[in-house]
Amino acid sequence: MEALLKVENLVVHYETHNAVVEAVNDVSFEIMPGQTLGLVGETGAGKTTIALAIMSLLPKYTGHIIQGGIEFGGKDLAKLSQREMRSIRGRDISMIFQDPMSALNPVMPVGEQIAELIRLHQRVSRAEAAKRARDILKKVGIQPDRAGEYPHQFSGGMKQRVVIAMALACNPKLLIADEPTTALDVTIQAQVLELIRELKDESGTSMLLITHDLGVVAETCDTVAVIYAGEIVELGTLEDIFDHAAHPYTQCLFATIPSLDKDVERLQPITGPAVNAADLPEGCSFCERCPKALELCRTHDPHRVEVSSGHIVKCVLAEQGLLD
Amino acid sequence: MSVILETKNLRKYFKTPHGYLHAVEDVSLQINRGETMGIVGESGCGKSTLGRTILHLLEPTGGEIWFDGENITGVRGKQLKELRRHMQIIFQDPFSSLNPRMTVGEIIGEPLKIYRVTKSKEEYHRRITELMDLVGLAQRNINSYPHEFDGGRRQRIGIARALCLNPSFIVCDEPVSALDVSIQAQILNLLQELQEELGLTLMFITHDLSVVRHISQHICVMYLGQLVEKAPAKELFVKNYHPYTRALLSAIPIPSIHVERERVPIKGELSSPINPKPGCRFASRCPYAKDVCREATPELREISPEHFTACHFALEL
Repeated sequence: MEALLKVENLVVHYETHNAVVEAVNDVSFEIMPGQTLGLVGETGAGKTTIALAIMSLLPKYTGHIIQGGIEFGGKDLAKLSQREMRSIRGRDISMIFQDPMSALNPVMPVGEQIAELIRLHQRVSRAEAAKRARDILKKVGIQPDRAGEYPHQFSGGMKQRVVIAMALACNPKLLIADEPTTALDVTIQAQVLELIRELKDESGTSMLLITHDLGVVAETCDTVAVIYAGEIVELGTLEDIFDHAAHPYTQCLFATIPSLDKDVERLQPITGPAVNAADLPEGCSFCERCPKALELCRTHDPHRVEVSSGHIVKCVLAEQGLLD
Repeated sequence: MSVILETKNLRKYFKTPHGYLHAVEDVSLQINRGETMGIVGESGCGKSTLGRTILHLLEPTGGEIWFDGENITGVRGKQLKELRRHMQIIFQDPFSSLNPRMTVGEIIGEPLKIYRVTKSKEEYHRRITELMDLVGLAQRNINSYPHEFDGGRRQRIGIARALCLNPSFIVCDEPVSALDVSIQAQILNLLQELQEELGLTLMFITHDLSVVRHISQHICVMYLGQLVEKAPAKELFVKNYHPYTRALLSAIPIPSIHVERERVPIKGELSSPINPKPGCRFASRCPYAKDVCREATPELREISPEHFTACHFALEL
């Protein structure tokens, strides 16, 4: 099967007047049609930058794709003009942002916002677009009568439903969801995740889900990429990551979360501060905080090693066959 | 075990243009000395208001607050200032709760100046470095400003400030929810270590159920201003009676691929806390609600030792 999205050796830098921030460093992954890839990492790991690069939404003067290709439906998105990208955004690829309040226009009724998007990509009459907007609102569990209301009249969870409705209005092939439930309460999060899953299964859309919550990943994704300091340090299926985590960072990540059924006296935190992307070390970027670091890790930047089919680990230990 | 803090039917209403917002409604709880009481609930359930009302940062509308065997409801002026030595707070957002124009040393030492605790400059300085050691901040940072730190270390500054006057009771209002998981674990461990070392009593307010289970001995679950269930921490996750507690627990995504769970579906979202109708506030979302739930407010009753719940049908569900 042909991959829907193929990101290869992507490098993104932010250039400010006094520093170059190496936000994304040589990232490669694929998403198959109908599949969901989870991109997991902590604040500042470069998750959102990858999404913005795919959408060609990097800040105009500071963000640059230095190298690499983003292949989607036979085209390299990194090479398209903004005009060409505009016809893809919202139609073939759409995005759900973390904060639903700032993603909606506060002075336009929600129904109109959805209809606007439909009319931008499809040749339909105003009345037809309005009707479709009402249909899609109904699909995400909002009464179609509320199409004339403004975003502030909706609660947080409802606003995120509107954003989802908008993202799915043109039946995109790929949905990028950037922390779609982080701003929501758990019970509402459960409802929204359930909704995304249902709609995705119904339409066969692929999804790139960006999150820092491993619980959300376990429930939603097929494959997982763990990202640290702009690099994918481990990539594999749900089972590879959750049952056979090989990279020390992935293992640490699981160990720091308090469990709901096991008792521990103390958690095992990852020591030290997060790495500064404006000043990356020469060797492995995790070595300063890594409990298993060797002397070699300081100077040698490891290659990607495929430890089993499709399970890729970027660690010196994997290179030397020293993984447990 | 002695009770250090007790609230009796504590109420806090806010006046709004549309009527009274019942943020905290008849909350009665006891916190034992040296223990951690977890308060969980979703946003808008009144958990922060409860914490702030206990600390007299907000004036209670009704009910009583007892601290160390004394009724402290409505204390003012000198008495309140004296009381604040013993009760402190750690805020959620380590970015907005620190004055950006003050150095770390000034922030941590400010309570010493306000209370005129230290007699000399040397003593003042010594106490600040002592506190920095205690929370794991390097002494060389004493003249740095908050913006030079990451979230985790900024939260340590907030903790040092709260500990400055040797309080016995600290309200931790979502102290780790703005932090990444790796940093979150560092701060949770620090709080536990400090608690053991200094014999602190903590009231830990959070929406994160796995964190609250890890850190507390007892947990209160709140819904729209009301206490719906109160139980020993570990027990709550195994045996619970209130439909809201069940729904809340079943909604947490678990980071494992081997857990098969039955989701308790709850419909809709929080109803408005402004001029609420009588009866159980969860009734409009509860799958088991009957007529009586919409008429009479269920009392908090003891189901098993130390386990309380406020549901008419607690034992039948």
